[in-house]
Amino acid sequence: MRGVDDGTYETAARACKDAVFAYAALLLGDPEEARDVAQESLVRLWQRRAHVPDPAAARAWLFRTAHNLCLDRVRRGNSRAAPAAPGTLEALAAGLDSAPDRKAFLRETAGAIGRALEALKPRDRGVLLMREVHGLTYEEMAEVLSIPLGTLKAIVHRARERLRDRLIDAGVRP
Amino acid sequence: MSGDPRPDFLDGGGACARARAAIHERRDETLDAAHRARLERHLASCVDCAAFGDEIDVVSEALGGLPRLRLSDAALESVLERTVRARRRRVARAGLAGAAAAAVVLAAALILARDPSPPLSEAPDAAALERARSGVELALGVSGRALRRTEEIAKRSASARIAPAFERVPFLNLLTNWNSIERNR
Repeated sequence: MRGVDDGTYETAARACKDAVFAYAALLLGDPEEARDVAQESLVRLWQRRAHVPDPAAARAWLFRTAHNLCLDRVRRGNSRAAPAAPGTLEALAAGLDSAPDRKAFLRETAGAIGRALEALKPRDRGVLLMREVHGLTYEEMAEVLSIPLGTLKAIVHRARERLRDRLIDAGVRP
Repeated sequence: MSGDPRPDFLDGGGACARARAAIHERRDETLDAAHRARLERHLASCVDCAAFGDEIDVVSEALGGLPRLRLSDAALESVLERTVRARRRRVARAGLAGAAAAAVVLAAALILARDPSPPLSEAPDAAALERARSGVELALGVSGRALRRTEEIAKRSASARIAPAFERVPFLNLLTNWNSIERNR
């Protein structure tokens, strides 16, 4: 295993920093905590760069580290993600944007989507963010979460349905 | 859902449950053309599954449209300072130290190469030997005096350090006084 050299590390850090931060911010509902998690993940990538086979693997490696750091903080209770920060995700979701024909509807329901996300368990929120927001493949996610592909797909599908149910409970009919 | 196409997979009991699973696969773009065509036929005739499909699509789109948050450049710079740049500084310092050591070795080699002293095989004359002996005796005398002087200074400074220490510690002070009392009896 050749590992990631200094130049490749810097390139990977610049390419992945925003995704890792955004993931942690939406998972924890706390931008300050998310910044700490993103920075710690990047430092750990540096420390373990010899064990990361190539730059393409760096993204999944960073997501796994950030995911574990976030869940540690939630378990320890020193993150506002347990439960999720009321209103934080709602505020983040207020910047929702999408295809023009859906745009108006999504803007109107942005707050509800934020609240619905907050109400999900961290694991469900995490898989939805990885899949729907950051576009990780199921193979990458299975590596990040160390779970079988079939189990992972079932978790993502159920999480989607739970988010849909929350929206309907909130009176939003997509 | 791929491989052997089973366009009839939505026939019979439990069709809606299978249709909903297929809706997720359609969303994930893992549903092959034959199954997709069969799903579309089911959705055309099942209002509940069609609504479910629309709702799942909207949820996914809403998540995909969440704002792209950015980690500040300052936060990344802080990480790079602690990692890759710290290593570069260490490597640069090690390179400078190596260059300095190489320069010292080179300078020593040049000095030795230019040393005008005669080869050891040549016997020194009697006058040179006498001058050398005088020089050694002088050096030994100076060294001996310097050594004795250093010892005296060390003894004085040690006693100067110890005495105040006794004064600072009441128990040791009491012992000192007790010895004085005993000596005066």
